[in-house]
Amino acid sequence: MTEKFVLALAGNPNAGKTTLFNALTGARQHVGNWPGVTVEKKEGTLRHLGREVRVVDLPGTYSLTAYSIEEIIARNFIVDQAPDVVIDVVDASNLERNLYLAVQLMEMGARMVMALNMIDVARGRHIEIDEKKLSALLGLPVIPTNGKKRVGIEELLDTAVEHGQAPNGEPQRRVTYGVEVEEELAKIEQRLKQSVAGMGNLSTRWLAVKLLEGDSEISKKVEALTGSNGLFQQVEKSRDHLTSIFGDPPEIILTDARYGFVSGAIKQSVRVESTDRVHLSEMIDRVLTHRVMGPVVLLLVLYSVYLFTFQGSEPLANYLQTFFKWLGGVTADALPEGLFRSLLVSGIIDGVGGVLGFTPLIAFMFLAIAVLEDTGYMARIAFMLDRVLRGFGLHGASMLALMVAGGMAGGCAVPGIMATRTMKEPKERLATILVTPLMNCGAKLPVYALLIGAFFPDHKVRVMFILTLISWALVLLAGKVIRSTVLSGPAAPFVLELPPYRLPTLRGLLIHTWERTWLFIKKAGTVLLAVSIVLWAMMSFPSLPAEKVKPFEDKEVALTKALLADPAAADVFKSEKDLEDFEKFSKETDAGQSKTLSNQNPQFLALATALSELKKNATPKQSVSGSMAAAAEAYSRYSAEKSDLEAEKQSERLKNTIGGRIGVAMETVFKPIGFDWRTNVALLGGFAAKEVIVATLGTAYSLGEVDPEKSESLSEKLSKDPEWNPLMAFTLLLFVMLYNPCIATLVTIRRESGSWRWVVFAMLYTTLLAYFVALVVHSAGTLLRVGV
Amino acid sequence: MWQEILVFFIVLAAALFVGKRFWNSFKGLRTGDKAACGCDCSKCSEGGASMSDCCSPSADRRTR
Repeated sequence: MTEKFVLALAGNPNAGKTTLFNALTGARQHVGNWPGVTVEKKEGTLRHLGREVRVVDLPGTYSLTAYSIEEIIARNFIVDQAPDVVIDVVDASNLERNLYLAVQLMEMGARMVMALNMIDVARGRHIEIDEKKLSALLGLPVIPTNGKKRVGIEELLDTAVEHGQAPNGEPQRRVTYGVEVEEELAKIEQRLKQSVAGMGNLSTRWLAVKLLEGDSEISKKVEALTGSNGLFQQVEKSRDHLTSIFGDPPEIILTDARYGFVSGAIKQSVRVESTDRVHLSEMIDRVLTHRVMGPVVLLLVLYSVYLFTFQGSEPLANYLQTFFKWLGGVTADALPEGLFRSLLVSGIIDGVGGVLGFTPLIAFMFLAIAVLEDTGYMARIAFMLDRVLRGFGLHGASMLALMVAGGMAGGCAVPGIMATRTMKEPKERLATILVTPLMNCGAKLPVYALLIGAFFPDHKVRVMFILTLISWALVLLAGKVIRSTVLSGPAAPFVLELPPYRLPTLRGLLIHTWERTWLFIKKAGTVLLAVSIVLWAMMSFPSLPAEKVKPFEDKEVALTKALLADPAAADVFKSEKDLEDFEKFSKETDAGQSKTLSNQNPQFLALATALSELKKNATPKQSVSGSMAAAAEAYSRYSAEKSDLEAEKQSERLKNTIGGRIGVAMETVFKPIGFDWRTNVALLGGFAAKEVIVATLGTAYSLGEVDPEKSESLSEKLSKDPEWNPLMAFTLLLFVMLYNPCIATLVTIRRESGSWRWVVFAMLYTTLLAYFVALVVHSAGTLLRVGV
Repeated sequence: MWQEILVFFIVLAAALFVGKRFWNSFKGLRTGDKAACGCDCSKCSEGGASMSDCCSPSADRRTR
């Protein structure tokens, strides 16, 4: 069996390492964690020139010191696992910063190939790199690549495999640190060779450099192997000596020397056409990240995103909602009355359909966000808000987490929380984890769309904009309170990168949009569908017991008797059968299916005409007699009372179910903020996933319908319900924004924080915050009679 | 009668699905070296999901 060839990918963040990794491995990837830490590890395989190649994507790092966990992981992998070759992925448009890592990798003695990536960007900026010259200067192969367009990939692989088979040894080129430093390094190397046995893959020169720099990780490793003090005494002596000569500790001298080496290599191999020309990204940033203009532009962009989302998606969303209404009606017609019809119509079509109806809105939102991300503007937002965040005890790195979680609506708290792994300071990281769920994630969007569409139809964009601002304000407030109380501590320094602006490709935008939209649809078809069915069952069983049904039946009988006894209706309805026949005739007429019955009873036609006139409030036609008009009024009263009775019966039936009882029990707590039992059950369902709130409301209102064959959209039902008003809707919007995170988020909080204590804290503080805000808004609105 | 039986099995299947989904989320907490994302994105049920599989492709770009 051929031994696997191990290829490690190293490089700075944003150098295109992941793109290159994906281009090399395609779908044959495996994702996990590096052992013992929460840093992601990606591996893949490929076959090249008859060999099985294992590709390991090391964490992105700027250097190989012992400062961060990512640097330690990258370094330890190269030292311990000794990959056959290390491909250093370098951003060709930013060579100076990227070559610093390359120099450190060379010092380790690793067999290296350099992928001069984003070569197209460098050329676009008139940066001409003589890769042959650079290769000669560094003593390793340099291959120009473009990971996105898969340029140079084959050549890179050929070179890597060929180079990897070369014998291991000292690098061809190395940084020289000057006479004094080299002398001290020689002394340390001498001691290392005497006292250390079995260091295997490690270059003694590299060890000497690390010991001289005072690298704690390497010192511990070497100490464990040597156990001798002689080596470390020499190291201490060398450090003191160099510090006394240069006035700076050795690590600074060595860093300066490396940068000097890099500058030298660049001067000889790189030519920039015009050095005083400010390139386009910087020009744009002068406006977009300006202290005053920047925030103004940001607010305009945010408003535009919502305008695009709501207006762009409206025709499609209306069409889809009409489709689900039609589907519900057709299904109710086609199936006999019973549990199965109820499950299908109320549980599935009205439940999940209620969520799926907002798919166009979700897609448009994701498209707008993809444009902002792919152009690079999202990083500018993070950069601008960094200043604001610091004032509230949060961090520039928090920005990434918050934006991913839904800074502009449509994200997800789970990857947002995982993005905090880049934060070094534990208390800052934990504070960010705890406030991230307050962002407007994609799951909350259908709830917003439903309530804003039903109660603020003329102000959709404005309300969405206001909700985003409120969300941010509360995140900052919560962050400030948490960082001032339970998690107070220092702020760590952080460098926020500004990648260059890029023109997104239409294909890329559509792929990103489709990927996220598909996830939304898939979630609706799986988790939401299952949860909707379970909630439908909770709102359908147990049914109303016979002794509770009897009063309604008695009332219905009394109503019927009263109508039959009414002299005004006596001519038309002589018996209960006449009444049943007329009700059947009415339904058929409404459905455009009038049968020959009307020919057998012309009075039905006359009564139907009179009822129609009554509905229009018009004066009766001359063809309608006074007695028929009176009969129409009597029947109309009977019909309205019967409808009310049926609605009351449905309401009682629902409240008697498991879901209803839970919802009613919760009213003790939620009545002060105006939530009825249906809303309470919906909020409970939101614990599984926030979209379930829409599905549950859809099911609850569908189950309570008097005539399931006459279906309306959920928006229409809510807007017609007297228990709902704009104030109630706005209160619910705020509550949904803030309350208890969904179960997936809670699990992620547990994993990233390492403690259930913080999960409980997150659940409690978010729900209490939501309740408090809802109470204030609802009370103020009721008092001032705004939105009631 | 057939309606009741059919509905019973559908509800049972849904409840088992939801239970299994939640169980997988909590199970990921115990297998410390797997980055199970716990959200409802495509890879969750496979137990080997990561941040970059969830929701925001650019989250991966920004944090590498």
